[in-house]
Parts: sequence; C-alpha cells; structure tokens
Amino acid sequence: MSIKVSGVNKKFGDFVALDNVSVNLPTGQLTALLGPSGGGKSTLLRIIAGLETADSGTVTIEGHEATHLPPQKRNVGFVFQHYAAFKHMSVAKNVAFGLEIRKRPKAETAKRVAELLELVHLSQFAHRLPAQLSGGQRQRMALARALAVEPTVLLLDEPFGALDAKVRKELREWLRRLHDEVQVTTVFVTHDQEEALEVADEIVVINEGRVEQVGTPDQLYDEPANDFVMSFLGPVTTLGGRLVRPHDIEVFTTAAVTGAVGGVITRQVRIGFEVRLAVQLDEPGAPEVSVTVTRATQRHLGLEVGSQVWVAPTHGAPAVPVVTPIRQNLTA
Amino acid sequence: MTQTSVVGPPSAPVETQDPGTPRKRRARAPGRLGAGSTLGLGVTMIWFSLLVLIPLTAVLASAVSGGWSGFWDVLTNPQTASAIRLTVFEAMGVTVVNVFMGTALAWMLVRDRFFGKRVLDIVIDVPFALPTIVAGLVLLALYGQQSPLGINVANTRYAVFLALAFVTLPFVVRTVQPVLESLERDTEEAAASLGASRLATFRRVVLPSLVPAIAAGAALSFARAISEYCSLVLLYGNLPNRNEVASVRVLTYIENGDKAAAAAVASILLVVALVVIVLLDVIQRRLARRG
Amino acid sequence: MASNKLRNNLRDPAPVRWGLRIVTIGYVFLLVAWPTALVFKHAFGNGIGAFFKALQQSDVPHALQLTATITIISVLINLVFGVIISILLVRFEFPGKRVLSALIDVPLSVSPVVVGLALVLVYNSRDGWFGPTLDQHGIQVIFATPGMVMATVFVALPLVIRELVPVLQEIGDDQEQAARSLGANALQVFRRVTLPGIKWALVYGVVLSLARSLGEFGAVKIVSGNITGQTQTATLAVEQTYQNFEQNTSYAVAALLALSAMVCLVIVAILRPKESE
Repeated sequence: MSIKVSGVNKKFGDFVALDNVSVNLPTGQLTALLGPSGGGKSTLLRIIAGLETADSGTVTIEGHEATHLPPQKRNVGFVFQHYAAFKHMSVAKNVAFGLEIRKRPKAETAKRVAELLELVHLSQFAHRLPAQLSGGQRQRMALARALAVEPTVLLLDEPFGALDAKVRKELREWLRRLHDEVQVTTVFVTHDQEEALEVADEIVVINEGRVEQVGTPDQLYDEPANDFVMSFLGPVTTLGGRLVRPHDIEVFTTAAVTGAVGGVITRQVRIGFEVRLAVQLDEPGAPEVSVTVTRATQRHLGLEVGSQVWVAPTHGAPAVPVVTPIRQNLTA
Repeated sequence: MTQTSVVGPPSAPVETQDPGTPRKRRARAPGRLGAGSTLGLGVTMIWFSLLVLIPLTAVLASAVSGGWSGFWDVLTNPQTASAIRLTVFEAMGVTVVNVFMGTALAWMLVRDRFFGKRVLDIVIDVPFALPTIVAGLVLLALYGQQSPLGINVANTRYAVFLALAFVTLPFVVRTVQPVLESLERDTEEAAASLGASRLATFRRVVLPSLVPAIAAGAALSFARAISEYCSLVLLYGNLPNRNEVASVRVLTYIENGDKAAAAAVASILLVVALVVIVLLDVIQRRLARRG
Repeated sequence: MASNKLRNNLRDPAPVRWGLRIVTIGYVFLLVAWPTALVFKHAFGNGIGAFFKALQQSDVPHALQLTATITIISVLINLVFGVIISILLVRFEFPGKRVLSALIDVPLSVSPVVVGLALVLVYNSRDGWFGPTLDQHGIQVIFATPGMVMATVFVALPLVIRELVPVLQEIGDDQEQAARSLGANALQVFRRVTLPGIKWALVYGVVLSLARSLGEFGAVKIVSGNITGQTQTATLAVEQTYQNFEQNTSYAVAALLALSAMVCLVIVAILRPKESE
C-alpha cells in the first residue's frame, strides 16, 4: 500500500472536518477523492501532504511513518487549485525550484526542467512569467514543478477547479495520459463526479468528514453503497420509494407490464439526442418522476405532453431505498 | 500608499480562459470630454497651476536666477553642504531602520496573533495623525531635559534621527502590510512541499514578493525624512554644522532674505521628491506586469 | 476547506515569534506610545481645569480659531477639487493626464518648507511673480489668510484623490452608463449613482485631509510670517509658547491638537473595515 491513512480525526474549532477516516491508496494508481465542498476531502489531502496535522490517527507513505513529518520531508508533489505560482520567477525557474532547494547540479537541473516543460507542452514559454500564461498553462506549470522533484506521491487539490469547462475537459484527459506515462501514485480532489468517473482508477467518496464508499468508477456507479453515493454520482429520481437513474426507467404506452405505474407526461424537454420527461403519477400524493429517453424512443412511442404512460425501472438497474429525499437531483 | 499610477487600467478579473485566447478584457475606453467636463478640466488646471505648477517652477527658476555658478556656490557653502550631507545621511539611516522594523512590524501584524495587536495597529498610525510639531514635543517629553529615562538627546544629531524615525515609522509598515495580507499562502505551502525550509521559503518566495512594497515604503520614508522640518523645530537647537538639516537651511536663508539661496537648496529637495515619485511609478508598473 | 485563518502550519516557531514581538513592540513603545502618553500626562497632569486655563493664555484662543478656519476652508477646497480631479483622471482622456496624475503626488514627498518658499516666490507682494499685481488690487496672499489656506491645501492635496481614484476605478462606469441610458443628466448621475459609490472613500479622504490640515506647520510658518495674534496658528503657537518657556500652554495646545488628530484616527479606524467589506 502506498498511502495508508488510519483513524484520522481533524477538527477546526467546533467543525468536524474528518471523523475517523481510514483509507488505503495503492501504489501507481490514480485515485480521486470525491465529495461535496466542505466535506473534508481537501483536508484529508492536506493531511497526507503534511500541510495540516491530524488531531489523531496516522499517515504512512510507502511504508514510512509520516504522521509527524513536516511537508518538506515527505517528498510529495502538491498541486493547488489556484496554481500557487511563484509570480516573480519565470516558468523555468518555477519548475527548477525544488531541484535548486535540493542543490542538484546546475546541468542536471536544466536538463530535467527542459524535459518536464516538454512533457507539459510549455517549452516555448520557459522564460515567461506566470502572469503571462493562461490558467490552464499555469496549472500545467504547477504540475511540472511538482513532478520535478520526483515525488513518491502526487497530490492535486481541485486542480481544474479554477478553469473553465472546455479547458477543464482537455486537462483531465491530458492528466490521465500523463499519469499513464509517468506512473506516479496520484491522488486528486474533486467535487465533479464526471471528472472522477472519467479519470480515476479508484474513487473515494467523502461526505461530512466520513468515507461513504471506496471503489472503481464502475462499482460506484453500478453498486452505490447508499443513497448519497447514488445521488452524488449522477441524476436520480424517486420511483416506488427507491432512487433510480432517470435513464434506467422504461416507458410503456400500455398497462400490460407488471409493476409499471401509470401517469401523465406534464413536461418534455429535448436536449440533443435525449429527451427529458416529467411524469405525474396517477397515484395521489406521489412525487413527479423524471425520465430520460432517447429521441428515437420518444418518436417511436409518440410521446408528448398529456400522454398517458406507464413507467417501471429497467430490470437490474441500480436502485437504493430513499433515506433523505432532499438529496434528490443534487447533481441533475 | 503605493497607489501612484492613478490612471492604470482596472485590475483584470481572475481569468479562466483557455490557452491561446487573449487574456485581458479591454477596459472600456474612457469618455471624451463634454462641455461640462471641459469646463471642469479648465478650472482645475488653472487652480492646479496657480497652486502647484507655477510656485514649484518659481523655485527652480529662482534657484538658477543667479546663474549656475551662484547655484553651485550656495550648495558648496560649507554650512549648507554639511546640512545636506547630514540630511541625506540621517535619512538613509532612518530608511534602513524602517526597512527592517517596518517589515518586521507588518509581518507580525499579519502573521501573528497576540493580545493588543489591534492597539499596536492603531499606535503605528499615530505619527501620521499627530501634528508634526506635536511629534517634536512628544519626543522631547521622553528624550529631552525632563526625560524620565535620564536620556537627553535634545540638540544632538540623535534627536534628528529620533524625530525622523518617529515621523517615518508608518511608511514601510503600511506599504508592506497589504501586500503581505494578499499574499497567497498556497505559494508558501507549495515551497514547503517542494522541500524548502522556512528560511528558504521566506528568502526565495516571500521576500521577492515583498521587495517592491518594501522599496516603495523605503522611497516614501526617505523622501519624508529628507524633507522633514516641523518635528525638528523644537529638537534641533540650531547648531550650524552639527545638526542642521536641509529644510532648516532653507528657512534660515528665507529669514535672512536670501530667496535665491533658499530656492537653490529647496530645488535639491524638490528634485529628490520628483525622483521618488518616478521611482514609485516604476515599481508600480513592474508590479502590474507581474500580475 | 480550511480558511487562511485556520492554517496553523504557517505560523512562525515560538522563538521567532517572541523575538519579533519583543523587538518591534519595544521599538514602537519607546518611539511612539510612551512619548505620546507623556505629552498627555504633562497636559492633564494638573487637572482638567489647569488644562483649560492654559488654553486661555495669551493669544492661544485666536490661534485655535485661525487653525479651525483655515482647516475648514482647506478641506472644503480639497474636497471639491479632489472629486473633480479624481473623476477627470479616471473617467476621461485628455492631454497631460499622466503628468497630472504624477504631479498630484508631489505634495506627499516634497518638504513643506519648499511649498512655503514656492508660494512666497510667486505671491509675495514685494517681488513675487504675481504678488505686486495682486497687491495693487488690494489682495494680500502672503502673510495673510489666503496664503495660509493655499499652503494647507497644497500639502493635503493628494489625500482625497488617492482615496477616490482606486474606488472609482473599482466600481467602473457601468452603473453610470446605465443611469445615463435611463435619461439621467450629468448632475443626476453624479448625485444618485457616483456619489453613493464613493461615499466612504470620500469620508476617509476628508478625515485624512482634516488631520493633515490641522497639523500643518512648515509651509504655514513661512507664508504666515507668524505674527502673534494675527497669523499665528495653533501649531505655530505650540512652538512659540514652548520657546518662551510657557510649557504648560505648549503641552495643552499640543494635547488638544493631538486629541483632534486622534479623533480623526479613530474615525478612520472605524470606517476602514466597512470600506473593505
């Protein structure tokens, strides 16, 4: 196990940031810490980096006890949401910083910096100041800077959070490829489930200071441990007292299917190839159900506002009992 | 206090655009002058000229009214030369003290937490707020003939140093403090995780970010020290060649009716003031470039 | 998400912290706090009655009144021109703008003695550039109130402008354009849109000018001629009474000036957090 966190507690005043958290993050993998803002995932990352000290519990990195080591001695690379660029240094100087601190020979440093700038596609910007770079470029510089010291683990705190949607998408694909190339144990914090599902080998879902579930993206999506994980990982709707994904609901125009519930389509929005329907069930007091169907299905069944339909969850679709209905459509 | 480039473009918003696209949103072009504003500009410029431009020009004109040799004679007069030397020397000394003390104070006000911090914050502004003649009196109360400490520096060079240190205390503190406050803590954490010790982080990451502010504060402090007169009035005791500063020289010349000589010394002070302003502007621009 | 306040890892180690505290607090205490406290002790040491009695001495009441008059006039002038210049600098483009914006700062770094001399050279009625002409029309500037007002306005000139310009830049002109598109004229735009936005900065600038104007000495000393009972201001009275060995009076006037300045300071301290919110 590369990073082992056991029984970590952390409070800020009265606020419990981490409540007895234990996780094992395997060597060489790309792990996402996923959860809503304020849930404690950044605090966990900062405790791993030594930027924050746990009130109790232990942290081991590659078998070395690191709980009381200062950040300088942990050999971790840390990438911050807002880049944390050294504004008065050129891009090359930023990347060279860790190596200069370690008093590596000049020639070796220069060679390593050139390699890294090549890796992050910033070679032509080596002599610019960070202020002259775009956000995405600055974050790539920060990554190169963190990688320069050949860290045991690479920690990224919402690395794409300050970037706009398009750059964010580009950069996360790029991060995945970079990880496959560099093979360093990487942990990144995100509140964007799509980002986590797309990039990570493994996801740790953290909420209110506790680990809700650990697993591969498929496991999390297909077998959510509870309603929180289910609703955090994608859109959900309530049908028959259970949380179901809107696209895991089948629509019928006859009552023939057993278990299907009748209702009337009250709204209909088309977004590209998919069509979102709102179905008001006939049963009095039942909540409105969101259903997503393809454009083809909608046309085939002739669905429109006012149509009488019957809905039922697809066979084998993931579903969990509703515990706290407020969380519905959290990320829809 | 470093706000010198009063007409720079508004600071760009935190940019989040993709690489390649132009970064800066252009500020809307300033308006053209209409009839009302032209009138405003005209009246303002006339007022400004009468109050500032023409009088300051008069100083420079009078300084050389007796020809360059007259100007040079005034400045090389032993008593005047010694006053200018003393002023520059003391101003530099005070500025050095301020650089260290001011930075330390700003550091403590931003990074430390202790009982009475808010009081300290206010006390630092006292020299700004206190009428400077009172400042002289204040220092005499502790360091004059009736000193409860038994230290009497009245009428010595130390008195000049003390007075200058008093009136210039806030400059470096107040220029460094906001910069230190706005410093992203992330960068220090980044340096730490890259293996830099506390001292290395301070020297290589924090200090370079503070240098422009320290320089600006030092420039202001030097300018103020070199031109100080008021707080010295009660302290200096008028001993030519010993503790007379440049401003006092100007006054002595005025009182003796030698306006040309007064203007000659004054023009030196004026030039120093202008140099400082230009320097501050340069610092401001360099900072803007760094973003 | 730990806020900056909660990050303990960046705190200095205890020895560094204590070293800094002792050196800097000691410095400020010996240089500013203790001496200032002593002045008040001297002023009020013999009771509040003695303090007021000292203020009745010789020509002190006249000096205080003159200072009040000059301060009020100067602050008003700086208020009006400060607002106009700030708006011109931020909202308009005109030749010489850069030079003007740089020259605005001159009074901050130039010696008051130079300011006094400069005004004397232009406005003295014997051989000044404009003085004799003004004198023929019965206007005396130097050794009279107009000169003293000019000197005071000069030294406090940048204070309002330096507060207003950044705020005007910050708020931008979107709201003003919106108001104009809704049919407001220039005066209405200023009164109903611009002014509320710069209100606090304006108050802050005025308070600073007030403190500066109250305390001006060097420039005023030169242009006033320091004629007791006529052109002697409060600060000049402090000097003169001290040199005449009327130290009680001197300390009393000084304490009064210091108190007025402190009140300004406290107002500023109260306003400052509001401004940053």
